[in-house]
Amino acid sequence: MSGVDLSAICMIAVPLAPLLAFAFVAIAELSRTKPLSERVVSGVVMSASVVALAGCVWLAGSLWRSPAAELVVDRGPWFEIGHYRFAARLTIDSLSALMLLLASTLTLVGVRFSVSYMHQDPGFRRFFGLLALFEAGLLLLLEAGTIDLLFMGWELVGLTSTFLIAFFHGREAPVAAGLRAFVTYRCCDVGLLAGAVLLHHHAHASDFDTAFGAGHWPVGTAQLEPHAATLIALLFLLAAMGKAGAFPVGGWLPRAMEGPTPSSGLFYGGLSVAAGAYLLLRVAPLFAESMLARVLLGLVGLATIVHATIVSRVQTDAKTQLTYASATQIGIVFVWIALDLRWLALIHLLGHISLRTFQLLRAPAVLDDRHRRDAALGGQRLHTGQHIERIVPEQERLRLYALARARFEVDSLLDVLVVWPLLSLADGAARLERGVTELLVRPRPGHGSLSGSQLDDEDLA
Amino acid sequence: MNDSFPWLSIIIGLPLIGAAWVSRSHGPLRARQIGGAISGVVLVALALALVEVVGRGGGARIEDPSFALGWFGDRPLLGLDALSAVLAVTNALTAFAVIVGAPRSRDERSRIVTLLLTEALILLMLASLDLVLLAIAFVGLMVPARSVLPHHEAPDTTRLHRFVLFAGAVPLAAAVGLMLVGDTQTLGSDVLDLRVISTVQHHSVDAVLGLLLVTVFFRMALLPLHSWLPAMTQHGALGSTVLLVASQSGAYLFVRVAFVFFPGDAGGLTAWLTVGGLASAVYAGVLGLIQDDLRRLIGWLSVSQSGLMIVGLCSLEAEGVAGAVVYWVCYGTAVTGLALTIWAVQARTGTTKISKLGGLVESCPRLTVAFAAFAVASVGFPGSLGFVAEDLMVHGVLERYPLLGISMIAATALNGIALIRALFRVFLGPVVITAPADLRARELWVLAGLAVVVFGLGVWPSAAIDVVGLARLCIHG
Repeated sequence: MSGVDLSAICMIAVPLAPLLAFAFVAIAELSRTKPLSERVVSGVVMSASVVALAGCVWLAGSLWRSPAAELVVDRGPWFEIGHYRFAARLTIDSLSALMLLLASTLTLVGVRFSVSYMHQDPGFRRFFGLLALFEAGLLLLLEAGTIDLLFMGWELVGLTSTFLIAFFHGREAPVAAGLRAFVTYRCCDVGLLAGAVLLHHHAHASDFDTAFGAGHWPVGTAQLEPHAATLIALLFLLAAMGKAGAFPVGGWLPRAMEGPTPSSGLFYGGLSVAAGAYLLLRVAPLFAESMLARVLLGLVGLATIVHATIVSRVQTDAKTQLTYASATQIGIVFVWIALDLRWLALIHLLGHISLRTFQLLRAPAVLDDRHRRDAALGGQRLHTGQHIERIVPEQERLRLYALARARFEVDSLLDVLVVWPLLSLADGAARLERGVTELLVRPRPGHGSLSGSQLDDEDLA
Repeated sequence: MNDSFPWLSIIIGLPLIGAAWVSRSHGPLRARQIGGAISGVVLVALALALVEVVGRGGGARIEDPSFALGWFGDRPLLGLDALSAVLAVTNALTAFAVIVGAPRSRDERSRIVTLLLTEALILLMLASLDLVLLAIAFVGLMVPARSVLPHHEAPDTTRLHRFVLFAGAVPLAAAVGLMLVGDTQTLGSDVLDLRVISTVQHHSVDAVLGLLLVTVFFRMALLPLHSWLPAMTQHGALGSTVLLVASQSGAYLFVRVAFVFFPGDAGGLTAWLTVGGLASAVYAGVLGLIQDDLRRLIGWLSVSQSGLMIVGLCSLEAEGVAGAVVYWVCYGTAVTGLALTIWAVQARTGTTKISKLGGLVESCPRLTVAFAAFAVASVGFPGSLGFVAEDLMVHGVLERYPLLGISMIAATALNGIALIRALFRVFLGPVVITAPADLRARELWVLAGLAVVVFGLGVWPSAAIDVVGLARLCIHG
């Protein structure tokens, strides 16, 4: 078997292994009366993660040895009709190789960590199934050679994130947090799908090589009309903002900490939010073509930095504080991309993901760590030095504190400006529709108001 | 299949025979067995017919033997081309799933009779090569649902059924009447033959198109003639309503009559339908966000999906039309799965009110997974056939109207939020109500079969796309 064949097999196996692990866990869970043991479930998922990591290492090595700037697998269209073809094209270049290595390594660490952390949790199997599906989606996203395939991975990551945030579904808060994340994702993903279709429309191709044909990452340039490049870049920016938890749509990010710590560490501290930055890096040639898009990206990045920095300083729990720290770094990465410093953005992103994942995985033991450190220092506490907030006049400091505690009311503002008007419109229309229904359907005498509720199963009644 | 033998008449007649048999059967179990066997045979027969049509290549049709119709000539009344064969198989599948997979009800016999009659009428509509026959089947679709004996506590839907029946029948009857009166002199015996009528010039085109437009708007529940569908899904018989929704009879009338009859004049029609479709998709998507009843939510989802589908059909682009046909197939299957899960919730808890439910995953984990799977399939999640359909449709529409394409994406986003909200409220969260049992084996197997179709074709769509490519040529060559 030639090296090229083996690379092609690895590229397919990398997202496929965790996907098969998910399918195995899901089918076993649904079809067996006696659930699989924790050992089997974690063994299958961990084996898949090992396969994915080994594949990523092989691919990175192959790319390093190869004289070409990228490895490509294109086994014909997934489907086609007329002039349209959905290309099933996987690509490994310097950007995706580095991200794949990091993502597969950290996921394996997260899976191993979860074996102990989630031991004897009633949702152990569900958690590992979702973890495997998340990994499959993320690796597909990173390997995608077309914007359409990237969207598929993107959606898988979003949906699994939603279910993991709502993992402890017996309580209201995680469910509400999961729903909030899903609504944000879904609204912002309109940008990704619309951008993908418009890119196809204007570039007459959906693969990155053709769309950004002049050179490979990081030196590609988009061959589009300036107005088209601006529009598509802004749509992708919307999608990236949602996934990365950037200002002003990042309200879901601290709420996402309702999920189990391993998933919080892996996804919202690092990999999932980094998917937004990865998208921007992948389509950076578009931003390079549009000053307007770069300015807006830079402003979003700056706003995220300022907001997340101030808010993180008043948080009272470690996980939320780390989340805002994560958002701050993502904001800086946005600024690097706006300045077209692509390598700097990538290196910053890799360092940030690694550190933040480690910190979030250690978060449950933060007090223990603190005590050990203090004990090692002979009971002396570390002094962190001056706080930057002290440059604010004293009478304004309290106001700033209150604003930071309320997260600057960004979520409330979005609710007032976007959500409530939409819902009140819907409410008015629903009243009208109920009126029409009451004209056509009438309750039977003695049975009160209309209801669609009738117990009509003989076996269960 | 041999064209000298009336295979299609027999296939369409089978549900009628089954309905008569069921009405004389003893006990609900026997009724279900007969209904399941008959609908299963019909499904297999139609699948073979589809294979035969596809094997003959694009534009081919299998037809029953000719029938002596006096002045109207000697011609076949029934036939299947690629489009009608694909839709017939989809509808046979949904009928089989609803008959076998629904909870056992007190009125099992009348329910199964109704479903079989509805199935027969849908198949008659799809296979009809005669305009009057098609119109009779189209109008008649609303009749069997009316015959279901209502639960004594259920609200009275007589007025609703009567309204839907007449509002769909009157404009269509008037359109057919105008065509008969205006065209008989010039077209002679070909006036009703759907195979050749597209090749000739018609009179009274504007009036006929206007009447057809009203019929299509009403039956597809497009804004502003949409309100009956959420009311029907909430209060009507769920099984026959699901078959009605899955059949998309309004869309079929559009592609078979308006589109083919008046190719030169359909432009005006498509513009109106595009506007109506998009308005419906967004309006219903917004209303879906605040629904408190799962059955009514399905109604709004159906209004929205009908709107999206008609926009795809009216794009007149290869991708848009093919995407709309895939959407037709996918949504029919996915909404059936979704309806069956909601029916199972109602059977176990006595309610479909979202505010009265919560935490059902504790007592019904399999039901939860089934609802989640069909919810994501209904809104075009990657891996489902709906994703392929939406991708094709949006590309097709964007080619012609970029802004409309983006609005379509927004509408699908709203639908997704509405369904995931329902999933979270009903199945997750603190336990509000406990169900006595999870899905039973029969229900589970039916839902698993539907899921295999929706997700199997979503993962390997090329075979489905090839068939749909042939079907597309029947609409927009």
